[in-house]
Amino acid sequence: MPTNPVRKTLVKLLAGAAGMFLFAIFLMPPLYDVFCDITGIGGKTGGPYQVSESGVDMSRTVKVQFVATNNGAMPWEFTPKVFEVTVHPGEPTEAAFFAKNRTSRDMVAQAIPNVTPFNAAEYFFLLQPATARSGCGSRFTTGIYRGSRSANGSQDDNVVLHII
Amino acid sequence: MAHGPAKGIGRWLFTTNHKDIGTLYLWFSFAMFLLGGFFAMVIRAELFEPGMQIIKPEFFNQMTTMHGLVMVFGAIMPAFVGLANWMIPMMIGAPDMALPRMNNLSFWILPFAFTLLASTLFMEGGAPNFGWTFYAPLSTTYAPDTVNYFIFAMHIMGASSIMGSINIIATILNMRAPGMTLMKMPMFVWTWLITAFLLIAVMPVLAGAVTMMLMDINFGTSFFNAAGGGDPVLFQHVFWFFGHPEVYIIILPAFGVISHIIPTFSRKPLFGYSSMVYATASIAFLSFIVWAHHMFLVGMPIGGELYFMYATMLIAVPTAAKVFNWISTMFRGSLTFETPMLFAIAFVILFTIGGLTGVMVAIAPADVQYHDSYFVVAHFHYVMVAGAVFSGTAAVYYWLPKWCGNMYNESMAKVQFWVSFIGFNVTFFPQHFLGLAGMPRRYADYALQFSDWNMVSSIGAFTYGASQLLFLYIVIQAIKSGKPVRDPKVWEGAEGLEWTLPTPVPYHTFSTPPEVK
Repeated sequence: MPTNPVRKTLVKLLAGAAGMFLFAIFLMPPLYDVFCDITGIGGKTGGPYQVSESGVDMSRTVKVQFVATNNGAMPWEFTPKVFEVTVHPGEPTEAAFFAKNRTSRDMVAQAIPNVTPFNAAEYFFLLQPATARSGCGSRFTTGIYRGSRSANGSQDDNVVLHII
Repeated sequence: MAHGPAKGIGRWLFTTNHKDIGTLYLWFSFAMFLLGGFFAMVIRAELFEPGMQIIKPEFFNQMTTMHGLVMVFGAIMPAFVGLANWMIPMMIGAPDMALPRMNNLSFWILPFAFTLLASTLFMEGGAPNFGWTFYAPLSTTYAPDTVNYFIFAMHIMGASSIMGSINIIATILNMRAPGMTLMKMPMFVWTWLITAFLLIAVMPVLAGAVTMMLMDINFGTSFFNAAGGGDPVLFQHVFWFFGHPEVYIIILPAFGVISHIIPTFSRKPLFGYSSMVYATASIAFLSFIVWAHHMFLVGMPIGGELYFMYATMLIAVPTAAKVFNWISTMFRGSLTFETPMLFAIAFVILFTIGGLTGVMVAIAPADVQYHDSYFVVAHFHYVMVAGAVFSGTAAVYYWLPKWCGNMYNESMAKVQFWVSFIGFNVTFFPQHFLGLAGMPRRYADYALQFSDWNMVSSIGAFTYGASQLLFLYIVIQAIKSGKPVRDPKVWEGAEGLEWTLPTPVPYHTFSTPPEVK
């Protein structure tokens, strides 16, 4: 620590500024993720699939639409096998996606599911991640839809699962 | 020991004198004010009538973006740093700023930042067109390539602000004259001390936000890209965590200026000095915990909306304390209405209007209607222009005779005040009506029912713009051939260390510190 009081103030303030810069880049994004987990916003899907017993509500149907988008730099072909399903709340349903590696190299890809409206996200689970060798087409099952027993009425009747 | 300024251009390039650097900041900010004002004139000319007449929509977007960036970062912020450089050492009895060479550096990187930013206007793809709030992914995935110039310019500008703030804090904390305790400091010094801490806390966050953008655009990260597991809404949180304190960074020094001018022309000490200090500190603290009121429509949980709504409305309390203190200072004072006082009174009235519309937009359920409409444009121009710019103008009229030893032309200055007061209100008051009627902001065209008020608003804008050219003329005329003033006090009611110095202020002052009782 320098002895000159002005230098002392300077060093402290510079350290403060550097700290805030690091806070913005390294702490705010993870904090935001935690916040989204707690409040359930952001549309990120849940952890591993667990079987839970629930009755099927045959009187209601929910329409689920699937969309797949590639990152701008991603050369794969990527599309939902089925673009839309209509299910009863509580009824487990699988939806598969098709991915094809169009390059000559082996690649591992990561698909990130996201659901709107946000409060439907807890009813989607990833079954099996996939890798594709060059030129191969791979069919991977990405989600299982567990219809929502507790879903609040018509608000959830239209659900969109984006896979990107 | 005592020597005058160096000769020629070298005086300005290599100067470490706080008065020279203050002058540089003020002229630079005025140049940026004219540039940003020119962009505003282009916007208002296009909006004079419905339909597209003068420019293309893509260029219109560049104009709104550049207007906001240049005015906030190039005009208002450097103007108050300039005033701080000039006045703080004189107000606390210090010979200069604590870190004079850093002071030179923090000014001289600014022209580079804004040349870089303005040069994008002439590049392929055009200038930044994503609004001054540069929301991702508009500013990342869909941005023109020139966005990298914008990011670099923001980094330089931020570095300049941080260095300026460090200098101000180091000066205030270490170089006060003997006997000047913290609670004896003039209000302008207090408001700047708190503002400088705000700047050091949030300018690095802005730097972090643009750095994350830079990485997303060029290095394949996904901070704000949902396709890689990031979240565009995160950008808005980071931006407004910077952006809301930024609002107070702009207005707090303005509060400080007004707290000097009103007592001077009321010939009474400031009413409620300590409550002013505490109110400033509370506003600064609250500014960190209300940022998401800019984002009521992004889909927050209801608890979040309620929290940000109530916390925001809480800010009205310390702000109102300040307004009441200014009014109480004038109450039963022996008032005269020289131009600085006219601007200060206009500030109090118009800033209060802007503050009250601020309480309106803070109400989350009502904000669904106001959000992104011209009502918001009217609101923040009432606080930024009638707040910060009016107070900056008042400060120049108030201190210019002290700086250069010449009085400005009072009757011309009064004309300038009335033209800009009327021009300002004709420009922005009708925008409240436009916004409530549903006109969205940031569009190059509008539906026919908005035609009349838009034409009125444009006429007001041209009037206000012209009044600024008159201001420039009055200042130059005062410096070149104004009536000499030699009274150290200049104004009969002025109090403080700066008014004990001879007029015009010598190049070096307080080489031996004064005694404060």
